[in-house]
Amino acid sequence: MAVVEVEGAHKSYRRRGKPAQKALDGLDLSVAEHRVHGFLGPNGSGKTTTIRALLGLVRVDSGTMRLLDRPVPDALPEVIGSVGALVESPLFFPNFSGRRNLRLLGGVAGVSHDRVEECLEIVGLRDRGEDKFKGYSLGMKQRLGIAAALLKSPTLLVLDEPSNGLDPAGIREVRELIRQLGSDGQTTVLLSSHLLAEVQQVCDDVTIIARGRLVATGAVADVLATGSTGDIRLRAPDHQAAYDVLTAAGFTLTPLADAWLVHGVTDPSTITRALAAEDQYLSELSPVAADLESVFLDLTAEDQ
Amino acid sequence: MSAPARHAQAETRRGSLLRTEFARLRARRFIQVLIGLALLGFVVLSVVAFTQYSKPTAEVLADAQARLEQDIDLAEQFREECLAEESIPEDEREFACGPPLQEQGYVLDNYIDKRPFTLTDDLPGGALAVAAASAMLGFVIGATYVGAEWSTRSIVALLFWEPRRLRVIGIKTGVAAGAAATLGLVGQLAWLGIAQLLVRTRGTTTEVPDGFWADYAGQGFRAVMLVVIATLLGFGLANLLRNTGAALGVGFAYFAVVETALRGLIPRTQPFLISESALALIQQGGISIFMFGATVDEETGSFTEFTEIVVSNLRGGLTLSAYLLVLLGLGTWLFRRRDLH
Repeated sequence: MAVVEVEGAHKSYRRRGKPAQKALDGLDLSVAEHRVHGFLGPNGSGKTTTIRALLGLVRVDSGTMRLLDRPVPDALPEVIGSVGALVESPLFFPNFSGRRNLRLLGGVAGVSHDRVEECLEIVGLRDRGEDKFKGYSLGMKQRLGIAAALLKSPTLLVLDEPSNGLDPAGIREVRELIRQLGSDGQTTVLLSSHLLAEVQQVCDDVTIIARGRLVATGAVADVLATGSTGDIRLRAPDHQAAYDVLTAAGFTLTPLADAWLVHGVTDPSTITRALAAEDQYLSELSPVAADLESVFLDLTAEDQ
Repeated sequence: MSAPARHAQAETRRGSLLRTEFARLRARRFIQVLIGLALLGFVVLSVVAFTQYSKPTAEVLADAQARLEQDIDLAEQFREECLAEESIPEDEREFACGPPLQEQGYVLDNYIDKRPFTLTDDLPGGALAVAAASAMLGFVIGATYVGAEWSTRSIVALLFWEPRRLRVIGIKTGVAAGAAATLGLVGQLAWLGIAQLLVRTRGTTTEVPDGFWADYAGQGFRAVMLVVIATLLGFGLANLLRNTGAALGVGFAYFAVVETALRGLIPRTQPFLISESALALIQQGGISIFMFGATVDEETGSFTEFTEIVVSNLRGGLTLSAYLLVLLGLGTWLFRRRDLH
């Protein structure tokens, strides 16, 4: 079941004296249940607008949206109790302590004080719970925002740039937390991030958007495959003989430290076949995978 | 970060939201400071009031009575001389010299340096002052209550828990109104308590006229209404402008500049001004506004034509309610409709 479904969403912002700016231009998005789904896009591509629209803060001009199989925004009150969200920067009263801020939010839905303490514990703020929010570092504020999103024990957790302001240790902890949530079999995480490595490390699936349109979507591995370079890293016991055979067969090779890089290979079996025909055998043959950054830049290049 | 545990799904309830909003209002430091300052001001003014009144001794009363009678005798003597004045036509003397003087026309309190506190003279006036101060305090509290929510954008965070915007703004409005009613009521009761102390220690225990307490209770009720309306005006303005400072600035500019200008330049707008309507609402019997017209110069002298407009309690209340409805309605409509960022 898709936990989040967006079909053909359009949204334009009117600007005084200027033409309307399209934030969403027929966007489609589908987030499968119990997965960690990365939501990637350049700045201004419509990620936050999409999240805001899903949470009822922004109305789309056309298109349909569903959360937990219910249409939003109309049925949002029915499902909001199962949705935790951190959108951009955390929104709290600066003069209240972190604990009081969480208790006030949780109080709206009758969340117990024990649960507040649990969430403070989860994000490592229990000892600083009585400190005023305005005295928190950027990272601590972000942690408190995550704690607030967790208060409801959500079925769907929406995190918009959760690593903002965190130090490297904090970033790792957040990623571990997201992975834990994604693997507990009960939570779906929609993670909007500009950190491509984060999405590659943490997410099962990814959707890439640009200018409010879907560019690519699917399992992270599949999306990476679409950006395959066609390069193959190759090692053979007889380094020079392998080179001679493959160049004679029409392949283009570049030397590496202890291997060859074979370019433009659409089918790796053509390499093994050519070498075997000349009694040359491989000790290594591995496709050089594109990283998400390359794929992302390739996919969004035409929209920049 | 440790692994999260699973719990039952959270469900927003109207009662929980109401309780949370009251807790949020109570916890605001600025509001606590405002209430503290108001309390301090009330205590200081009460102490000052105790120094301004005095229960007169028999000796002081006798002296005052003697001076009062002396004044009456003197005035009566002047009247007799006036009636005997031959330069005034006989048929005009009664009119020119006035009617016989009565002791009832003189107020004994005016002959005492520190007059005693009396319920009939001083209680309603004090209640009026307390209502005005409470209304101003309510305006600021109403503005900061919702203005701070916009400044910190915590109102947006609240929508992640309760996305029904009408319910959110409705409950916030209700909380502001409830807090204002409490403020107004506590202010009136506190003044009544102080007044009782003043009567016992610095006043006279003369009987009050029939219907006094009923009229006073009515005034107290209207005073609480005024505090609620003022608080919601502040709330509505800050909700519309999404900022406490802007709301207070607009409020100050309206009362200090706009009303003064309208009174001077377009006097006929006076019955519709907020200050006049507020006074009309709480003052017993409402208020009379005199609008002066042309000066007529006839052989007998000159006089200025004027029109008296009575603004009753009801009319004052209805005018204020109309402004409030427009302000709250517009703010609510925009809150429901606008995209929130």
